[in-house]
Amino acid sequence: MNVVSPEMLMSVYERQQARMKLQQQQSFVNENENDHFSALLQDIKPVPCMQNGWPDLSNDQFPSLMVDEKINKRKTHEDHKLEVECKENGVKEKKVKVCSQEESTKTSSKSNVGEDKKQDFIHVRARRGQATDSHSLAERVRREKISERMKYLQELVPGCSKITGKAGMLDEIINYVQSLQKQVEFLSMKLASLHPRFDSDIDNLITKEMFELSAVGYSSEIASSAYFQLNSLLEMGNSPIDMMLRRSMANSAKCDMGW
Amino acid sequence: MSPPHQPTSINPNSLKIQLAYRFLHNLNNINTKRSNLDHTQINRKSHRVKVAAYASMAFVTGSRRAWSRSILRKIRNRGVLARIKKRVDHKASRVRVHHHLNARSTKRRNPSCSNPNGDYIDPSGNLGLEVKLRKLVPGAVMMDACGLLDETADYIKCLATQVEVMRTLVDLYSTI
Repeated sequence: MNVVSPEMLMSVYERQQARMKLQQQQSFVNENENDHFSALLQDIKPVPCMQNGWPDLSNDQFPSLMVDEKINKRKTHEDHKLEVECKENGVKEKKVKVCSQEESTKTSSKSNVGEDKKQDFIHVRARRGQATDSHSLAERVRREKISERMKYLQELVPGCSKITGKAGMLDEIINYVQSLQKQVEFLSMKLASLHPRFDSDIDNLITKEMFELSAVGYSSEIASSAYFQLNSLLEMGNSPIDMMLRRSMANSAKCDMGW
Repeated sequence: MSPPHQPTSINPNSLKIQLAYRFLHNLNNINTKRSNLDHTQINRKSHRVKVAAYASMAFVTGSRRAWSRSILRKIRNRGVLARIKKRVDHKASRVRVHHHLNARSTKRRNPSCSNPNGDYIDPSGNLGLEVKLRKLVPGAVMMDACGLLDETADYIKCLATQVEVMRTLVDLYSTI
């Protein structure tokens, strides 16, 4: 394993980190890996044990992911940026062959939360061993998309902010959708039993007023200045439906009384 | 709050208004079409109301979403089937067709007819849940996980507003 003292590496890698950040701001993932390779070479030269392995690595199938993931399990997030680099460089020579085997299993694992957070370095490493990392890159992107959507769903579904993890979230989502559908069924049964009490005149009234109000609503949305009016309308009753339903009910009540 | 991958932020207020309008319109159609004031036929009517609710949801969302498209497709097919049934009734035996159509309609009737599967024993542990979700959300059976979550989010939003609309309607009808 790595025998180099951490203090020595820290100073070197702090410099390297600063430089890499600068480079990263200028470049993207698709840029030629060799440029950064040479840049990194310059940074790491002073460390003696590292020099030998570098030229080989451009051709090797080096999955930087694998190393990251192993380290993620051990280290805390604060030490990641520096120590990951140290370990990676130290372990590279020995574990290059093993990497290609383990990559497939590791990349499919879900313990990649730490990786998603240190995105700067992920871009850097992808440039180096691009052959295999295109897969892992795509997978990473896909996983991030999914986690993004899970977060959005977390906000939608009430009472899900405490639950972390895909399984629990999915469970909550399924329960919520099922409960919503059952509510629709229940309410439709209620409506079906309540509705025939009234004659179709009321429905016509309602749909008419609805149409007017919705027309108003649409036009006020188009002209955003009147948008606040709509909001105030909504805040007055529970919804504009309430208001105009009440109006229509009042009208129909008047009609009934007039009979 | 609209996440970056959803460029069109659905304003809940306008969604509610649209839903309410459409739903009332459909209810009106139900009442004027067939008079099911009989108490024994309340089940059938409630089923129609439910279909009207889903139809209004799908209509408001339009063809933007896969779930709304699948609901609209189901409804159109249902209309076609009803016409076929009328035609066939004149020719073939009623019982056979009736049973056949009932079987088909019961399959499509309940979107929430999810079998209590229980979780599949999987190495990943998520597969059973995903399949469940796919069955719940209409039209999301053949979809990748990303799109599935997207559809679920939109479906949940629409369902929640629909439930709200129906609840206010029920409250209003019951108080008067």
